[in-house]
Amino acid sequence: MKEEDFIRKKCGGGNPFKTPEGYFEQFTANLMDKLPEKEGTPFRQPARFAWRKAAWYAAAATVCGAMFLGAFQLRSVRHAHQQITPVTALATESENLDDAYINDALDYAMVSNEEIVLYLTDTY
Amino acid sequence: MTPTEETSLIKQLNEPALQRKAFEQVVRHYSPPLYRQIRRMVYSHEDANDILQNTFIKAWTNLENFRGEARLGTWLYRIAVNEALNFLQRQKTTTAIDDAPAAVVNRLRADAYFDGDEAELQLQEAIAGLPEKQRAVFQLKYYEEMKYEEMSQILDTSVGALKASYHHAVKKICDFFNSRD
Repeated sequence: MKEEDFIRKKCGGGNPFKTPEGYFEQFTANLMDKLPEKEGTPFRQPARFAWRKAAWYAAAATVCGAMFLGAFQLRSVRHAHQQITPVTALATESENLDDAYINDALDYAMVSNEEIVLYLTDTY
Repeated sequence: MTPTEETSLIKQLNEPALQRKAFEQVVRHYSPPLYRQIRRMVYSHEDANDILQNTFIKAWTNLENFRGEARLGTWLYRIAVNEALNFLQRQKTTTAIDDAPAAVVNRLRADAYFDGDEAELQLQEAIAGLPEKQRAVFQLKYYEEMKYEEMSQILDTSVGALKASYHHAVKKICDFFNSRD
């Protein structure tokens, strides 16, 4: 770049800013004295730590899942129980109706209960 | 520092037992170039010393955040330049220091640790007239001959914008010299 060359010819590219004698040696020593102690945390987290954390999350998720399934199961059982009672009643009623119908049919055919028992026991 | 040396140093920084010793090596290696850049931005040795110290303390306390995606030097430059820019912003709002180019020249003339001739003083006057970020771009390129790609990571600006910024800075400085001749 022409303009940059112009500046370099006119001024050079050196460093006009100076420091006191022995500044950088002194600076390093002073700074190291001032640095706070680290609490033993290296700047890349070790893989073992990540796995341990993941294991805790997995355990927590399993417990939550088990609790949820348990609650769901309990709810289903209660719900089913509540639904079964009217169905059972209906079935019993239906059974009673069937018996009444058969009795009526047997009366109509003039077949007595004794005859049926004898027929079923092969002594007829 | 060669890439192999830097890789080895980064490994040591990761080891709690070796961390402190490795960081001392980092300070020894990087304090001269970081000081030069900070000093060019803030001019005063005392201010540059404070900012350099803050830079390394910040780097030490945030070592966990350095993931090796950028070079160690680039990461340190980024902290240093940001610290210097923040300092300049604070100085503008909280102190009555005159940062006009002519005032900067007067301060440099009186500075025992400034060793520049008249041409250099004129260059510093011209640089002081640039906006702060453009000043940092010019200094990193002109004095440190830093690549735009690295500068892009330090200043968080695109390479194209940095090239344009440097071009404008050089033009303004040439215009300054031409107006004086």
